[in-house]
Amino acid sequence: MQVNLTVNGREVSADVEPRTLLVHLIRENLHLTGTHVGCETGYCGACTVHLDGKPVKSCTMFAVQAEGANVMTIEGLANNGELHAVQEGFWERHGLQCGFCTPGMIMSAAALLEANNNPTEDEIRHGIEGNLCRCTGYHNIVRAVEYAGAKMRGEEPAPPDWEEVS
Amino acid sequence: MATTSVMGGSVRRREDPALIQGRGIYVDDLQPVGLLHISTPEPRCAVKSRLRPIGRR
Repeated sequence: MQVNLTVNGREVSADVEPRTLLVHLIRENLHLTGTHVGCETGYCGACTVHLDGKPVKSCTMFAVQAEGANVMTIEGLANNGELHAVQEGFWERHGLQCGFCTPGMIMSAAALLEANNNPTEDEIRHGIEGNLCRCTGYHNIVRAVEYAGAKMRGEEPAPPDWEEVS
Repeated sequence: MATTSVMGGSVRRREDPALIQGRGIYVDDLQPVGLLHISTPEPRCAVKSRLRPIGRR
């Protein structure tokens, strides 16, 4: 089946089987391997992308269901080499270790902040509850999202919660 | 020995720029020559004929 959609601003079309999942179209047809397949059951969120601006787990829908849609993956988030505030936050506040959950985590956090750029810690934890991280314990991920929120509000992010020892 | 600025300081991770932009390489991203993914009609099958990859880059 032919499917036509826009991915990271580029119009693409692909010939897929009806059973092909959106994540497999993204990874295998479009070779955008930043979107990860963690569990293939909808629990882990590693495959999260934006579909018409909303975060979706791309392993829970068929590629053909994205006909005509505007999809953004982690590869499309930075703007001409300038990191998105959430990407910067994850780097600055050590929001990742192995990095496997990170693309999905960042896409969820970016959508959360798009809707509300001044979330409470509870709202951040609620916003990323569909994304599992097995390395960080989430603490620094929450700090990273807070950092990004401050940046998006045009404010100075709170200092890191570790101390430099000279 | 010269004092290092690393001890006790916060060090930026050099691997992060790739990982936060979807450019990390994980095992699932590798495409070794000759790698095949096979769909089978049964849960337990023997491959009895040699297969040729189709549609590979």
